[in-house]
Amino acid sequence: MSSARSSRTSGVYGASTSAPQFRRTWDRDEYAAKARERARREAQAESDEERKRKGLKPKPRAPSPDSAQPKEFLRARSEKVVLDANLNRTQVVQSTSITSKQPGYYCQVCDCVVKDSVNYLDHINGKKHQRALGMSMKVERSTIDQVRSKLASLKAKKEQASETYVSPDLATVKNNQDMLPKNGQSDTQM
Amino acid sequence: MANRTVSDAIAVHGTNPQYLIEKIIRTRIYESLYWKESCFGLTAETVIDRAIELTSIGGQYGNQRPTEFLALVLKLLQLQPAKEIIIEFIRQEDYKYLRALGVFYLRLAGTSLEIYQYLEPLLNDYRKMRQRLPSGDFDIICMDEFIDNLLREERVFDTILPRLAKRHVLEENDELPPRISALEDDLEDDLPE
Repeated sequence: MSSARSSRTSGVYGASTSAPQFRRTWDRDEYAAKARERARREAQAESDEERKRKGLKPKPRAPSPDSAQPKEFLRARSEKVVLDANLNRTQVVQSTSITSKQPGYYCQVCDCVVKDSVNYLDHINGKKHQRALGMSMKVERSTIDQVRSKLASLKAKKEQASETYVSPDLATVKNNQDMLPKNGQSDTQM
Repeated sequence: MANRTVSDAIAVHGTNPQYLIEKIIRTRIYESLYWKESCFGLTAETVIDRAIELTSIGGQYGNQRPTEFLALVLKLLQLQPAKEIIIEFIRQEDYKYLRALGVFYLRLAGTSLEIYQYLEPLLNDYRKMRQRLPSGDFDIICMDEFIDNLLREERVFDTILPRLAKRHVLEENDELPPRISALEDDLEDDLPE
């Protein structure tokens, strides 16, 4: 093989070996930033180690950008939690390492299995799960205007529902008025 | 935590507002399925949805289980909505259980003056509500009866109500006008005879 290679002095790609585009180019800035970050982390670790030897606590630091991401307000669930999806169902349980195949309530977001319904509710209401969904544990403060508009919309919905309920009823009564005595007779016969 | 009072809450009667419901009942509410399933992440706006679904009011029933009404009261104490929101709950006419909820919250967290101002007009509301008795059975209680209980009794629905200043004291301090009963006219008609 080495002989075959040496015979091709011009290189595999012919005469254009000297052309720069075959070389991988490196984003120097990115790697410099990475190196700086690593150097900072190492320096931090070293200083922490020193402080630890002196019996001091590590220095408090600004939170990493990962944990400082803006979080949404807590949202109430709009649909009911289905706790009885597997009720009255038989399931063969095998020893498996796949969490979703294990018996219990499987949480897709956190990839974990909780063994009973109460613990499952505690889990989905818990901080860890909500963090994974990108929520903080804070609830939005609703304003008086929101409450007013909510009540107004509920009232409008109620009125609309009652209208649609009443009108067909009246219509059918009018249409069937001559039918009514017949119905009455049949009822008495029964 | 899902059970923590909002961070910007103001102390009511010198304590955390949630402490107005006794510890043991509070714990039972926190452990109840209704609290975990339906009361999670509610705001003062979405509490309305839950409140209009209510079918009864009451304290504890059966094996000392807290009612859904009491769970929503605790939720309101936890959220501490603005006073205007509670007044809006009380003022609206369409949903009696929402009104009952607002009234109970105001009786727990409001001042004596506010309580007399906003509760006494409701003595003219005679709508019937279902009340869950400690035995688990239902009974009918009218809104005015409920309001009267709140103004007179010390303990309603297994909750100790904060002390209410006597009406005549507030009247003597000129903070409150004398109460005019809806029956006043009838009384005057009867007097000359």
